Amino acid sequence: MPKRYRDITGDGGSNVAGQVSAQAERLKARMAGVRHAIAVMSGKGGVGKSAITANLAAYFAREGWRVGVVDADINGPSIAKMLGVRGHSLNLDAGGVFPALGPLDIRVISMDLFLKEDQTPVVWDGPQAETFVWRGTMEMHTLREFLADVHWGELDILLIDLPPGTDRLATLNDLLPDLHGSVVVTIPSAVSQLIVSKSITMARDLLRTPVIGLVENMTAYVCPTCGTTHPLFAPTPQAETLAGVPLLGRVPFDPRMALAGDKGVPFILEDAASPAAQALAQVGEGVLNFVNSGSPVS
Amino acid sequence: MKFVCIECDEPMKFAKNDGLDDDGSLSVSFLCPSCEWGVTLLTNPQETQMVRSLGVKIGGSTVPPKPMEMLQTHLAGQRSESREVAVQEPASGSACPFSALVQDVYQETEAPAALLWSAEATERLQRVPEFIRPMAQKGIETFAREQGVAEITPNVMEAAREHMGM
Repeated sequence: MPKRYRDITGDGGSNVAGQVSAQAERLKARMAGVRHAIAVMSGKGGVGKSAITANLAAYFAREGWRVGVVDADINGPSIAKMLGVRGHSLNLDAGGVFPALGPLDIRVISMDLFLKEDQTPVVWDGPQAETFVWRGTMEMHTLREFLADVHWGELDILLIDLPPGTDRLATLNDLLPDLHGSVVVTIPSAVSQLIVSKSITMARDLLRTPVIGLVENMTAYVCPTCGTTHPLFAPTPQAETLAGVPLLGRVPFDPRMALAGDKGVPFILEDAASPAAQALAQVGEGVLNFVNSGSPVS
Repeated sequence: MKFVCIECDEPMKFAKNDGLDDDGSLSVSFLCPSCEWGVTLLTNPQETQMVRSLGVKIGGSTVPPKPMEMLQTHLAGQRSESREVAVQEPASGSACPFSALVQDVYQETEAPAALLWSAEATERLQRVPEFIRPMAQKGIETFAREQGVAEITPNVMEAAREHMGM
């Protein structure tokens, strides 16, 4: 009977397995100081995940929580802009990189903080033919470094803003098997809900991670002049759940929210009395109740 | 990845690393501890890069990885103003015999005095693919210092290449 891979102990001196194991230990040690790690995801692009993440971070920071945000969108980072830390210089020591500090001392790490200029895309040194072989692994490892090699310190909550794609939570779950849950963002369109329902199935049924609740973003347009609301999308049933996931809140579109994001100020801090900010606070309260009770919103 | 000697049914052991070629391919040899029959693993550039993208070094390392080492080593067009605020921890030893061989290829060490590069040598170095250029430069400079050479010329580069078995 010829030997199989599992029959041979060790790796013949290549020491690759030992290094991968050490990486996992380093990540585990870093995350030991994080009370709650929550992913913000959708599966669908353009639904406002990063805006929701930035405002959720501000909500928890306003509540006095120690908050960190990881921008897991390696190729399209936007969190640094929305939390006003673009251009911040990063300091590092032998133990890690110190995160940028945003409003209310929200700790932020994003690929945006490493790129030279606004128009600089993420390009890796390496063979430029057949990059599909290794590019995804490079991105996954970058996320691992964001989690493991940053001086997060003690955090009450770490929010991880995932890029579009129903597979992204699976990657994060490989790195953080103890992820506490995910917030799912959608918009009131049938197309979005079709994609988002796949993400929910992935999270809840395949990965068996808690889905805290659903955020319906851009529910309606609030006229900044007269305060009346108008639908932005074709009317869809005002369901209180999607694929069995409860609704945390409906956030109306407010152009001032986009402007606040462009300025690097979470809207929830800039105009707390506005309908959008109040809806964001309701979402934050739902997440807060989840992490305090340890059970999904009902 | 593991290798088994079919004749002896024994796991093979790492023997030597012949370093990276100009195009980014790696050559690593393993020997059967019983019959000493050998095999050399040759990677294509994509396979070499795949290993790098895992943030590991074949054969291990004698120093702990720096923070965000993979990102800072391989991201093109990155900002350069990240500041180091504390001294790196001292190196720790490794029992792996591969380490000493690969560290010349992969690792950063304390920078000694700069060597002079002739215009021809500089031009020739620029023809080396960008992603392995720093490693090639380091290998050539290490060779030059060992030989007591103050200026690197194409002849020195050629001698270094032969010395490294490339």
